Amino acid sequence: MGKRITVPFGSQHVALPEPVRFVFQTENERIVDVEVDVGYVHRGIEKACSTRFKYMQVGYVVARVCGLCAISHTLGYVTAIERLMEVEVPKRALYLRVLVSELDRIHSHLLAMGHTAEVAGYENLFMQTFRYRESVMELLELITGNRVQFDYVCPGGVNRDMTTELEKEIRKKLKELEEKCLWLKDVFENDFSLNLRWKGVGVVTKEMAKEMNVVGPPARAAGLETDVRAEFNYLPFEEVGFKLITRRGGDIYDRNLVRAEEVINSIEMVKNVLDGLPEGEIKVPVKGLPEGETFVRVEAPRGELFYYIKGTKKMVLDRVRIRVPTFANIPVMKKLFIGMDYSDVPATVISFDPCLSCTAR
Amino acid sequence: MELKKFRKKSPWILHYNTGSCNGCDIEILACLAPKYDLERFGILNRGNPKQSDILLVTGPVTKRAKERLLRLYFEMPEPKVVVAVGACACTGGVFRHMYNVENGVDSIIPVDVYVPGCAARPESIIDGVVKALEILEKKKKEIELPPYCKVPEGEKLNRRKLLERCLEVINAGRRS
Amino acid sequence: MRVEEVKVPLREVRRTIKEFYDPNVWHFITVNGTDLGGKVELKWFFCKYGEKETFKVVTAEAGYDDEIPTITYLIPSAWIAEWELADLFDLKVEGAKKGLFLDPDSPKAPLRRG
Repeated sequence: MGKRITVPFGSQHVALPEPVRFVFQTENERIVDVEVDVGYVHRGIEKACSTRFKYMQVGYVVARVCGLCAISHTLGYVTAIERLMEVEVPKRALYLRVLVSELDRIHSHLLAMGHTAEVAGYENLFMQTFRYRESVMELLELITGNRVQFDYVCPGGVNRDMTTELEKEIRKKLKELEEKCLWLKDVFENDFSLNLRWKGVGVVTKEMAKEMNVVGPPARAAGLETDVRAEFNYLPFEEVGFKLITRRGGDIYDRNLVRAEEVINSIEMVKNVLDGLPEGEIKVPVKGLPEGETFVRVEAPRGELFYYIKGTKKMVLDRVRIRVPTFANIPVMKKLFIGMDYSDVPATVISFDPCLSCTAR
Repeated sequence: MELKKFRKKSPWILHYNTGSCNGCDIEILACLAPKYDLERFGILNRGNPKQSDILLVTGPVTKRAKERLLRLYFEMPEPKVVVAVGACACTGGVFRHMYNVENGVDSIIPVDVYVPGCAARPESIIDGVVKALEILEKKKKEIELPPYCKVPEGEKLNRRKLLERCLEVINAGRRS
Repeated sequence: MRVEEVKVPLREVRRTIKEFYDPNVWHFITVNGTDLGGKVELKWFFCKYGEKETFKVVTAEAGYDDEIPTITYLIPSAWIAEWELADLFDLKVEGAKKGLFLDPDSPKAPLRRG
């Protein structure tokens, strides 16, 4: 029984890209208690969405909830408003949405994998992952016109069309990207030192995942078969070859491998979208005023994203509620830390790929 | 020791997110990664304020992050340069006048370089940091505290008291 | 989209959820509040694993002064959503601490109307 020591982790920390604060109570190296503070980036977007912005503008505001999964946020909101107003979106627009949302998933997953490598002290792999991630960013820039905040999806369709030259360019780059990602997956799977560092650390079991309602790659790494892409019809994922990927270990190693395999699957889906891209319109006008309430679930790169909107026949919505994936994963993180060695904490936090600007909104 | 010489050659940056959407933060990370490679200017990203010369701030400064931002600013040694990265750090951007937001970094600490864009492109971030290097040169001998934080002569203040006083002044300015 | 909506009085919420909730079948999404002016409409969202668009929503209404029962006995991960509710609507939720998002100098109960 050692002396109790309080170790603050955050809000500004070397291993953290974002402000979150954990206060650990440790006995020797073992953590006995933890407090979480996630409110550093609370801006009040939900309030602003229901007071200051018109319903056609909200899509661009919610994109600023999070830059990493900007496309998922807009997609969630736009799907909700389209369901509320019964807009029939053209098939071509739906396919283009799949394309961009999967490319976004690739870049987000590569970022998360790179970060875990950095926290494990593997600077080389971090740099290599980021170099490969740049080729995804180039693709996204070609398609949408911006590197991070795409503003690609809008109510009724998408904002930019795809040309044949662009398609050729994308195919060429995608081929290179696939080779790189296969190599990355191989490293993450077989590297000796990474195996030693990650196997058996931060284990979330299947029962725990069910009990704590874990979402996203951490849940799938624990063997829980949950993926909103299979459970909610918001985009034609099944037509383009979506596969549900699960593993059984539930530790950091498996979380990274789930991400790596999803990246490969996403590349495949992007290819299939390009092969079967239907002709036609990319946008239909949206008229009228939203009335009633609806909710949608969307699979963001970090897991299930939930939107609830309510309109009362006004230009401004009555309520916009956003439940983001990291918000759902904070309880399991908190539970996981108790009994863990302090030295494993940064790796575990990063392996959940927390997105605090999502969480606090 | 010629500390000045080393500072000129290798300014270290400190990055703090005060409520941005992460877009600018990942662009800063992308800057440090191989394609843009900010490190060729001798810049390293270290999470330690006491060894840093350039503070990169993203985000519109939320109420809770305000005090931490001030504290980080005070912990950095002189001379220091503040770069506001992104539209929301410059003016508040899309978050302007939301209820938990302070509308930009310059309402809390003095800002030397503004980098626009939502999200700021890596090229413009590099440009901003290079500009900051020039300013760092100029600032070498001056010590720039905001006027209301100057310690009156004959009075002794420690850091905690200074922080409290600055917060007081800022909050009073907000209320009036 | 198949949605089964159950409307219950506030004190029945915990019992209603306890009756059907099984962690192997149901996934708890979140609890949401909407201001109706003078009172808050609360909705607990659940969805089924592995099935297409199957939801269950438990609805209740609460006045600003009512104490809202916690469901953390049944669903341990619900605390964070409840704390958010307590913070942003300034409601009394069993066992919830204030200050998850808001600071002392932020406006009180920002999501209430008016």
